[in-house]
Amino acid sequence: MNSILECRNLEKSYDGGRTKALKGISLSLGKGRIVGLLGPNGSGKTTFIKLINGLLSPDGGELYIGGYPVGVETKQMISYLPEVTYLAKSMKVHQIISYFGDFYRDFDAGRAYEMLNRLNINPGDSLKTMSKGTKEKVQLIMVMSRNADLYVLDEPIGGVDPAARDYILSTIVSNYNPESTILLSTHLIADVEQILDDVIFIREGTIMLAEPAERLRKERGCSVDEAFREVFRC
Amino acid sequence: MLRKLLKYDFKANLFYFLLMYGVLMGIAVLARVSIAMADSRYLGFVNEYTLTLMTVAGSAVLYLLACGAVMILTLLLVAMRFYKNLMGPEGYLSFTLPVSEGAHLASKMLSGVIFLLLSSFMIFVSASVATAGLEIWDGFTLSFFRSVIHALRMDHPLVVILYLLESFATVLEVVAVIYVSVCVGQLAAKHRVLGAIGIFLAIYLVLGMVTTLGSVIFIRLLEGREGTVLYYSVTSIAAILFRGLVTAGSLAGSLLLMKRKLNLE
Repeated sequence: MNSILECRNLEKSYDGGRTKALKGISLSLGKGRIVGLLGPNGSGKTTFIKLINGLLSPDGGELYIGGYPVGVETKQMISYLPEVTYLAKSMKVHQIISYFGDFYRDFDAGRAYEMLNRLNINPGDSLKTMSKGTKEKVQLIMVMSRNADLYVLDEPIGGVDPAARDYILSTIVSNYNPESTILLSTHLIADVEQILDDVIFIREGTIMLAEPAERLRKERGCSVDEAFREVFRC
Repeated sequence: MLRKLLKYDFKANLFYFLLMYGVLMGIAVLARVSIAMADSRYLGFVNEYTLTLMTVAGSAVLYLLACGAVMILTLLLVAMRFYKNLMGPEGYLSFTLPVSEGAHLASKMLSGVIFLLLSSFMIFVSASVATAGLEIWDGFTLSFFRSVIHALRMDHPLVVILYLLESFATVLEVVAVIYVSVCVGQLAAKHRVLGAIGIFLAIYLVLGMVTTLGSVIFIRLLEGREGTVLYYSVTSIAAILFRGLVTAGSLAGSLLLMKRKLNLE
């Protein structure tokens, strides 16, 4: 099996079916790829990511991760970075490391301490004393310290300055297992373009395009960022 | 995994519970010391009887308020842990752990029930501290207490066991209803906490009406047998079954909402 994620005719609506967030999408993510899930705000990126992580239930269609329907087994395979800060503010960093170590058998505490040390983050510090940017870095360190099959990163560079963006992207690229897949959602295409193997354009709950980044560049004779602007022109 | 979830559920609130029990014990000791001082011969500047009465009444009121506050705060802490850990931003982590929704609910249920029982036990301990060495069991109090015990047929072991089971069923029911209220409240786009409180009150309003109706039916059915062991046993068993049903329904509702209708902030 060469794909880590398979979905067929995946549907999700809100407001009792009035707002269709995903309109029957079908796609497959290969192993060992960095995939950009690209689309404007409200295109269905976060809904798709929540479905992958079991935070929402689909209204229709099928979704498999590593051959399993979404459940306890797939949660063990996925390392998820949401848009929000999901760590309890009262916890200290070393307590968060113990927490991840307790629940995820693929968590590498040594790697987490190494990354914290490189960033001069004291493991004895409590999250509530940290700036928003530092909290996001701690969260990213926890997510990237797992040896997961699939990393799902929802807008990891959305709310940070350009210097922090570079750090986050280099952390992602240098810490993931080459056999793993990264699904990275963003609307800041220019910043992530160089690291993407595949791109998925999504608009109003429909997949507009899903292909290797290199092929897209060759076929259209432009960058992914330019292709995105062309496809999503207002 | 349940053991690990429980560990973190206990750790999250342990500090607040220890603080609360410490304050309760402090107030119990204060009440006992106040009564002892008022009873002593050193305070002669006010009419001795008035001072004793005021001190004893003041201490008793303060202590009873503290007991009430402990129970209310226990329920609030249990509800807040459930809401924050599962329905707030922390839910993004909790629900992506390789743990089933059932395990989450079981952990919250167990920790909530244990904390409620612990608070009840601490109130009992503090009451022993507040009344230590006092001669409250004089002839009149003792005979009054015995008459109440007899009237409720708590002098019969079966009735005592059923009362204890009913109390335990009540604790389970309260915790389960709190959780289902939070789960229903999170479906709203705004004012989720207010919504959860509204749902909780509405459920207890309905339960109160059903209980009243049930009591009337049982009184009719057991007419002429009031005050007997049979009467108290039958009503207790009915209450246990009813509360068990409410608990099971609330847990099933919570589980369904957590699995199918999760709506994290």
